[in-house]
Amino acid sequence: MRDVALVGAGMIPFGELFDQGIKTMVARALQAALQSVDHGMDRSEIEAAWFGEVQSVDGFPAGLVADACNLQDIPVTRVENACATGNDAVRNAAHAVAAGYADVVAVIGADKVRDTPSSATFWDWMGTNRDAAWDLPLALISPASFALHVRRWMHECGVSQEHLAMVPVKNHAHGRTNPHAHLRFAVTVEDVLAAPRIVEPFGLLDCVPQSDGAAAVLVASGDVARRYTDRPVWLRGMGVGMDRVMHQNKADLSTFAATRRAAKAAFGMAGIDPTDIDVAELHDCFSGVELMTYEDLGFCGRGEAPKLIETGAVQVGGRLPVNPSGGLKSKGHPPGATGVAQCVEIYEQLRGEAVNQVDGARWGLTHNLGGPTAVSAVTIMEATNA
Amino acid sequence: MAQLRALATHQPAWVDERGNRVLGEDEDVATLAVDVGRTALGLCDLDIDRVVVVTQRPDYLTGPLAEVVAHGLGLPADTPVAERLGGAPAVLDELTRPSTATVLVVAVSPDAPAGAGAVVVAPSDDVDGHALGGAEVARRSVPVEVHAVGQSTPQVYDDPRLLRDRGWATAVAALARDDAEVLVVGPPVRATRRLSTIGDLDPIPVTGAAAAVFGLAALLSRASRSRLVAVQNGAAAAVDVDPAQVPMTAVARPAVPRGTTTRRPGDIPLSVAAYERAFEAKVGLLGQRCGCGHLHHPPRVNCPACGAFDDAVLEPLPRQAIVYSVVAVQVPVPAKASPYALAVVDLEDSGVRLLTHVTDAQPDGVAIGSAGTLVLRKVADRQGIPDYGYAFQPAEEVSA
Repeated sequence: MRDVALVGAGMIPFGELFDQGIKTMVARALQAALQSVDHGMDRSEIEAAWFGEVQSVDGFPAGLVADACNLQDIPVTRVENACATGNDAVRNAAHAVAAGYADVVAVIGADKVRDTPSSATFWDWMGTNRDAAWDLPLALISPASFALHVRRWMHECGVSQEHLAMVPVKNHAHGRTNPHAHLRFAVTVEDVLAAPRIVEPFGLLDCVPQSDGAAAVLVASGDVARRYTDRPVWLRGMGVGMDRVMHQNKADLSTFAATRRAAKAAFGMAGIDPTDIDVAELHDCFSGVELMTYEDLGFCGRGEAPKLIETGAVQVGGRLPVNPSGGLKSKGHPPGATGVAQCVEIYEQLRGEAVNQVDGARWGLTHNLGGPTAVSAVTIMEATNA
Repeated sequence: MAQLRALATHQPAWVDERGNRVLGEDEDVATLAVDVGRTALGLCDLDIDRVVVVTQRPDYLTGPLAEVVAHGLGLPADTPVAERLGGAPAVLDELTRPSTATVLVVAVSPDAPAGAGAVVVAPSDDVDGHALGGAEVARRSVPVEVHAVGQSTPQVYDDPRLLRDRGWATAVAALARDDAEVLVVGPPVRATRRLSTIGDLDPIPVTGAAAAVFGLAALLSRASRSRLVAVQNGAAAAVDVDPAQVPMTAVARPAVPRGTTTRRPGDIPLSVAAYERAFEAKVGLLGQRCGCGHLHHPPRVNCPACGAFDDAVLEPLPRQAIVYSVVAVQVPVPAKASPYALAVVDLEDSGVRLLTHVTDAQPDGVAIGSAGTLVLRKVADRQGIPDYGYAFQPAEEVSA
């Protein structure tokens, strides 16, 4: 299979974008990606497109993107894999390029969460994303799905509420300087611990905001990448992992089996170890999930995540900065866009152009977890001539 | 004359501001019937031919009570389940009619002070049971309380002394016997205190249908014959109760004060097709045992361990459980009172886990490692249709 690289990446600022519908957002995201290409790329050079969107609005997704982005002459496919949608859309596109199907393709991720009233968002989505007979009547809301895992992990590894709180503190500090972030203000551990409770152990500031947004990347084969840039970012490892969908059927709630499976596939394909990663964008939908993910990805051993965050190792400036963009918590989480936006951040990091730049970053990793905890996607990227 | 073989009484856990026992949000006539019915069935080893549920305030004119009670009690799905509208006198009628069948008579009083009772009655020729003799009925029309269909509360003619004198006292006078002390049940104890001639009994903690069973339990333990008189408006029924050794259990959970709850307006979607497919395993608490030996829940078309198709049978799951993980939801959600706790519990010695609500306890009264039992509860009301399943009832609450 051929080498595959990102040759362009762009996004719109995330937020409550009441002034933009989904058609506007996807068009602007693709435009931003095209404009980021060092040697330029014309829309007509794109041979196929993949569109990651979790919640369909304003009509049939692939057609909407083809129309809004003026891509009428190429195939467009909608990808949906819960919150792993973005990275899985990249994976699908990349494999098509690697297999020789096309040389240049586009991946766009977007979600228009705020066209639904804020009070209805969770329940509407829950109606189609829970077993109708078994889990839906239990009012198993999304924070509860993740909290059941985090609670068990905290119990087994002796993790405190304060450790959880350090995650939004770090991510808000990073997001404050990111012009694309949804929430750009600092929070303290005291703020997080005092915030209204949502589902124990999560309070309001442990949870992602409701965000709109779109992001796009341009994927090219190794044969043509240098036509577009002297510094492509190589897609070295991609994996998607699954887990049983019902909590009672999962073997061990103190870990995310989907993340482990996705990581194993991605690291195996890339041929590197977790210790080789210089910068990562992880799925901090809820604070404790980021901590558990350090362990599930192999960045540290079992039960060592609290130490990793305590020592500042995962802050920009530390030895393994996590979520320099601000993460889902500060940058925002339009589910279809998130994974693609993570790739945008790592693309910039591995080219030395990120806002919160990690010095000398050569290997980067992105991670999503969703469904509610039954699917994960991991992408590993390498810089050129690092 | 039917023979009493086992008796159980049950009081729900929740108490209101005045200390009265009340049903939880997840309880109703059906769940109370299953709670007390299971206790009674556990005291004797008989096959039940028929179930009768007596209550003065049913939840539904047309509803799923019969199938919920049959599956919840673990009885064959074709077991007849009759619903009878009535109070304490109707319960005595069910306990004293001649019978060739083994019947589980369940009496449910869902309104505060709430409770339920259940009695297993065997056929008249059963030698191990105890018969209630001296059955008599008196009926006068004194419609002080009338509850019309479609009205949420009864009409009450406000004349307590009329009711006591012309409704009850007249009936007691007609039904009493010289050779036995009288216990009057049905109305609140403070209202009937003077009509009962037994002075040294603990007050009957329920009113209505269930009071007949609570009264029976109290009198079976006395040293000599008593007369139980059940009254409701102007209707009354009486039986002689001789001392007897009938297997009996009284269940009264430690009281849990009912706290403030919130609920977000709106509903949870319902698919009756999906509900119907899941019903047998969900309300019967049945797991699926594959030919390879693997036990799993909920049932599915293929075994998650060996992949075999259509090679499994349903079997009852154990009800003792230990909490594996638990979280408390604080935000308002549609169709459920918040705060509430969601737990994943390990079912004893089975390798099977269940995701459940926590019941009969404060949401923060349960921790990882807490032990308890699975009990049938109403999990949700979805578009007006009740949805039943199992909830985790802790053996004891932990302090927050």
